[in-house]
Amino acid sequence: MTVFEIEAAPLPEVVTSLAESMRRHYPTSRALLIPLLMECQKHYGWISPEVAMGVAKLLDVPYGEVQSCISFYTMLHTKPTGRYIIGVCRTLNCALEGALELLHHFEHKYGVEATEVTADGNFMAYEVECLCDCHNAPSIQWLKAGQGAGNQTEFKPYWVNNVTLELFDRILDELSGKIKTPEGFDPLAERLVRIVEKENPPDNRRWCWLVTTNCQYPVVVEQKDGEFHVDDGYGKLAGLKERNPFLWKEIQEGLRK
Amino acid sequence: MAKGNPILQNGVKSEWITPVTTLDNEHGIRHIEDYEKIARYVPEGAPGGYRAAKKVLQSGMTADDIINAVKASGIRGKGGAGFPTGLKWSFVPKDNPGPKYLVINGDESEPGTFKDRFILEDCPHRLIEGCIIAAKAMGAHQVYTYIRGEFFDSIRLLKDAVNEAYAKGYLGDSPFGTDYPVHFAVHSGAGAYICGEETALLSSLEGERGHPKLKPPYPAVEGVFKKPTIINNVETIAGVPAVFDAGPEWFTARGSEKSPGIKLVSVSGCVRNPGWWEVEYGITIGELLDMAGGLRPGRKLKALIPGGSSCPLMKSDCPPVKFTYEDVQAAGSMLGCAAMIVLDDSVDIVKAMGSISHFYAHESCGKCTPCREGTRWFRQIHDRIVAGGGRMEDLDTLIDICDGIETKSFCPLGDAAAWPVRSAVTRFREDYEAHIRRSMEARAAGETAAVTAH
Repeated sequence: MTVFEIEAAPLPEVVTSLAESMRRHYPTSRALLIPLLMECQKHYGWISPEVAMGVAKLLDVPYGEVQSCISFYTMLHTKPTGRYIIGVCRTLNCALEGALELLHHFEHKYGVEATEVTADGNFMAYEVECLCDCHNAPSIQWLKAGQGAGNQTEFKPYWVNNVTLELFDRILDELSGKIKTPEGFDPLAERLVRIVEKENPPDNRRWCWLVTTNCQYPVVVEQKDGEFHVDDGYGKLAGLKERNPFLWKEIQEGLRK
Repeated sequence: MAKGNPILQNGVKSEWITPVTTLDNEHGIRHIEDYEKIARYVPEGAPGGYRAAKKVLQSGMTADDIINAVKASGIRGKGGAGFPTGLKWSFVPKDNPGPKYLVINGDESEPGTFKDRFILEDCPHRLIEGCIIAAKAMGAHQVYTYIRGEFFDSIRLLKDAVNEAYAKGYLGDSPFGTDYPVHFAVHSGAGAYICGEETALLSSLEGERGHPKLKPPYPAVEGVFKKPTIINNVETIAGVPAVFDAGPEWFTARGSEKSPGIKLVSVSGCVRNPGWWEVEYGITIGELLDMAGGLRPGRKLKALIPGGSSCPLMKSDCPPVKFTYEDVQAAGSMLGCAAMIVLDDSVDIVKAMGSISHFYAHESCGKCTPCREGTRWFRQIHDRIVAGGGRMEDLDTLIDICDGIETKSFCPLGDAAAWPVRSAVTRFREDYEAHIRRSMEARAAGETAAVTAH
């Protein structure tokens, strides 16, 4: 009989330091299991048997129990996931707004099924259940996977909400380099989806909804020095020109129409 | 608009400028302009900003004083069940020598809800302040906040806020210079709806699969790490400081007798401006629909789910129903976590229920048979009907499966999966029948065509 030995991988510093900072709050080390597995998932994009063994050793939890947890939770992956993990919400509100069409389009475009990585190693899309962003349906959680030691990129979570099929397709092409993007442009950063003019505005100013890939802003529009200034009453759009010049430009163009 | 509604008080700008309003800027939970910066969150001498926690800890209020005040306010759990919060706290055995724990349920994952994330991201200090008070009331020195794994930003912002609160001396070994230590840990989940169920959340917190545990013993007696534990929703605890800032009367003066105070309501689905609002209980469903901009042009209301996808569907005659626990229940549904999903006449009820069935089949943890098998049957039958293979006897089968799950599954997830199906099949039976009849006719026509072709 062959016994397969799995060698424990050395865990990255982000994981060990998280363990250290959390440990004092808990009476058992096992309690840290889920947060640490999440941190590994963020760092590597998936959890290999070696990493799982590393966590098992660190927390003194049997390896089988670690794998049992990994298989239970939706966000923990046991296969490599590519550079981006695309979790498309398919629950009622998002389904009503065409979330399944987005997934079908993805599968057709790349010739893969959900949970498979595309041939170029860029994307892995899969169905997730409610992301609790139902007012911004369809909602996608788009994760830029960290790639672990060596080929280091930083993990970053994005929301791509209110998204249309055209915009979804465009983002995929921009990320995979099919569409050239300007210097410093992040295709996943907040961008404009549409502008809806308010019917029967409460006063004679211009009121509209700015629908972006993050959320929906009800705003008052004022024109000064040839520029449109938008105010949502809470300052969430303050300094937008400096913070996200691309979104600012999209809003300017959208409002001019 | 509802009586005493702040939206009107704040004038027309507020009515439209933001989907969120607050009843009272002084005591309400919204302090958006100050978020992420504690220094700005606590202007000298201003209300809010840990004033209530400071008062509670420094004034020598006993646990009973705190619990009685919360009981007097009538606050009910905002996570779905609506259990009176003060009463829940009083269940913790007082003479228990070992540690006790306060666990905050931030696993917001009921389809249709999106309120806790706003609290975690936009006013995390309100939550921390509420935790300090609740911890004192139940005799806990350690707070765990369990947040679903998808909320990376919420986890980051809450951790930042916790660090600020430690640095300011509001958390730690001697908060506000008193000798009552309160420590706070932010715990990340990893994607599982079942972890919103309180005992499954505790399993997950202990580093296990998110399987629910048998009750009794109830968590208040034997919860996380086998110690007395209180589990409260984020919104519930975020509302607690206002009890000590504004007094319990502030709550009882609003809403109804059985549902006092205020509630964050999420409205989504087929409305023009989906969003969330802070309202008094007792506002009508129709008024909430108006706040969300009403239905889309030319559309009629078909069905409405008042409290998240687990609640029974209501028919289109629901707008006059008052939004309180008792009124919604009398109308044959549940207020749940006040996540209103609006379905108009463009929506195929069978397909919508198919989508909901997929959700529960995916999220059933698999521990008990009725729920594990039943939710899969719901999904398969709905998928088959939608695909054109429906049979009239499917409707009886669906009700039969509901009978097999309701009250027979280990935790409320099974009930939550069955209630919407039962209500849809009974209240929207004609939709199901029309759907099935159409596909039966299509099948019959197809068979005839196949026969004549030969």
